[in-house]
Formats: sequence, structure tokens, C-alpha cells
Amino acid sequence: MHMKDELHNGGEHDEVMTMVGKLPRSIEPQRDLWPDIASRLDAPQIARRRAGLQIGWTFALAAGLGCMALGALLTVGLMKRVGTSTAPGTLTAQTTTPAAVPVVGAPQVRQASLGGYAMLGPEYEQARATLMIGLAERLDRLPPLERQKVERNLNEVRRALGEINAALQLAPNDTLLRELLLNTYHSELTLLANVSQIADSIPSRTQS
Amino acid sequence: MTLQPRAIDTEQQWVERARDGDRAAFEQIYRAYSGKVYGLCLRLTREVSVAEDCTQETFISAWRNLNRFEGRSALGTWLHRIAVNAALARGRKGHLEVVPPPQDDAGEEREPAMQMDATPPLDVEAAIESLPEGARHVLVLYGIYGYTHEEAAGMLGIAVGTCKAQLHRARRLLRERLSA
Repeated sequence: MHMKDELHNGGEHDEVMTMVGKLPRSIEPQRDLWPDIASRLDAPQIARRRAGLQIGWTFALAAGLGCMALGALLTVGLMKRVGTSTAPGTLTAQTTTPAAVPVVGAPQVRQASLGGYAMLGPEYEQARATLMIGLAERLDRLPPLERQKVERNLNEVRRALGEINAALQLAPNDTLLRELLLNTYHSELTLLANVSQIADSIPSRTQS
Repeated sequence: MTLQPRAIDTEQQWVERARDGDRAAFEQIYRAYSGKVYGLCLRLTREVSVAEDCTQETFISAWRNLNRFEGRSALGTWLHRIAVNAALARGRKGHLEVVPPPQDDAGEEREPAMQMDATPPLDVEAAIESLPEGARHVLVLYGIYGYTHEEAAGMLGIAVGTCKAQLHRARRLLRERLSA
């Protein structure tokens, strides 16, 4: 299905995508993983909650640092949104429904979040959408080391978002986790803004 | 790939029995899907040991959350989503055990094709492995496993536009590296 889209969007790349599409989808592990899996199937699940809270505290530090660097406008906008929509310390539209899972063929009501727990409102979405435009191109303009650093940081933030969302599935009413989620989105915006700032300061190859 | 009715029946039976605590049935699920899950994990993480860990976490998480699997998407797709979460969660010390994503509402049953190719072009694999992480993740999900941009973006926690941009970047870099 999506291959048809590619034909329309960039026929010159079809050969590459055809080669990629021919790769085997199944690769057998070099060893049998089942014995290890079987031995862990009945491990106490309480460990998951503890692990989640540990991540939360760990990430609090990083998220706090990210928040400090965020622009005042975004901060005010986001906090206003949170403050007017929900009780203090909570995010809007808290839900465990699978809204974050895209539905093929359905209208795209895209959340600004990376998970299913937060919809941070139009201010955030607009800011993020603006920063996401041309992100790949901006990244390509960065020196390799800087680019790797930025990509690593972005991936780190997004991993953290995934983990916080996972922790929220276990403790959906945890105020700390909700605040961490908000702070982490702040961090992502900060990183994106930094990429724009750095990339814009570098003359493009077409400029003299 | 559309599973044959008999295979689907068998798979559903495995799931139902595994939900009741039947480890032998769950092992059948593992045997059927370990290659597909491990292949995805290996391409996302690029490290055998990490991919093995992700594969184990995927099946352990699936076992613990089988009651959440309602059959609205294919079992393989559900496992792949857990695997992507596991792969993305790696690299951080003290990461959470992976919680499977919720089922989608569309009831889509599309299962990526699972055919084996006996002659994998290893240079393509190496070129993919050399791609930047974001571009590689999108290319793997979209190009190899056949997920749509919407599905891949949902799995990776990125916007659809970002997914498309990353694919564009991946294709450009891949073309450059394969022609070098």
C-alpha cells in the first residue's frame, strides 16, 4: 500500500526502497531465548512499579534542567493551558484510550504528545509543529558531532517520554509523573529550538 | 501477509490458552514470532545482545499483558509494537519494563509479510545499519516491515511529518552510500 505512495512521491528512489523491501523480515536469534524468557515469566510484577518510579525521579533532574532553558513564551502558554483546563499538576485530556495510536484512513487529530497521556493544547502543538518543519534538513546542516549530540539528546527525551507514559499506565493518577511528562515535553521543545538556533547560525552551502 | 484461516485459528487458540497460563501455548507463540521480533529489534538496536534483551522483554511483557490483547490487530503487529517500545527504551539505565501499547480502534488486521529471502543483500543491511538512528528506525519500520507512515510514527512516538522527513533522509543517505 505505502509503496504506491512512494511511486508518486519519489520515483527516483524506488530502486533503493525495492532493495530494502527485499530484506528478510525474520532473523532467528543466535541462541534460544526461550529458557530465559520462561524463567522470568512469573517474576513479581511489583518490580515494574518500582522501576517506573525510579525512572521518574531520575528523569526529574533532566527534565528540570530542560525546563530552565525553555523560552518564557512557551512556558507561560503551556502553564496557562494546564492551569485553565485541569486541576493543578495535571495534564489535560488524561486518557487511557489509544488516541496516540494512529488510525489508518481516519482523520488525523494528531496529539502533540509522544504517548497517550497528554494533549498539551494548541500552543504546544503550534510551537512543536513549527520547530519540526525542516528538522531533518537543519540537522544535516549541523557539524557531524553536533548533529549526533542533538540526535542523541532528542532520542533520550523521547525515550523518557515513552517511559513516563508507560509509568503512567501503571500509576495514572501519579501527579509527579504527570508533571514530569509536562516537563519532558518542555525539554523536547527546548532541544528543537536549540537545533533551529544553531542551524540558523550556520551559513547554508548555497550561501557565500 | 494474510494468515490462512487455519493458522489464525491456531494462533487464537495459542493466545487463549496462554491467557489461561499455559506456558506451552505461549512458547508456541514465541517460536512463531521470535524471528520477526528479534529481526526488528536487531535492526533497531544494531547490537545482538541488546536485541536479545529486547526480544526477551517483548515476550515477557506480552505474557503479562495478554489479557489486553483483544485481537483487533494481528498478534505480530502487537508484538512488533511492544518490541519497538522495548528497543526505544533501551540505552537508558534502569529503564522500565515495557508496557504494551493499547490496541488501535481501526481493527486493522494488516500483518507485515513474513516471507524469508534466502539471499539478503548484506551491503544493504550494512548501509542501513550505518544510518542515523531516527532515519534508520523509520526506514526499518516502513521499508522492511511495511508499516505505513502513520503506523511507524505512532510506534516511534514521532509526528507523521517527521516520519516522512526521516524516510526521505534515510533514502537519500542510503542511495549515497550504496552508490559510493
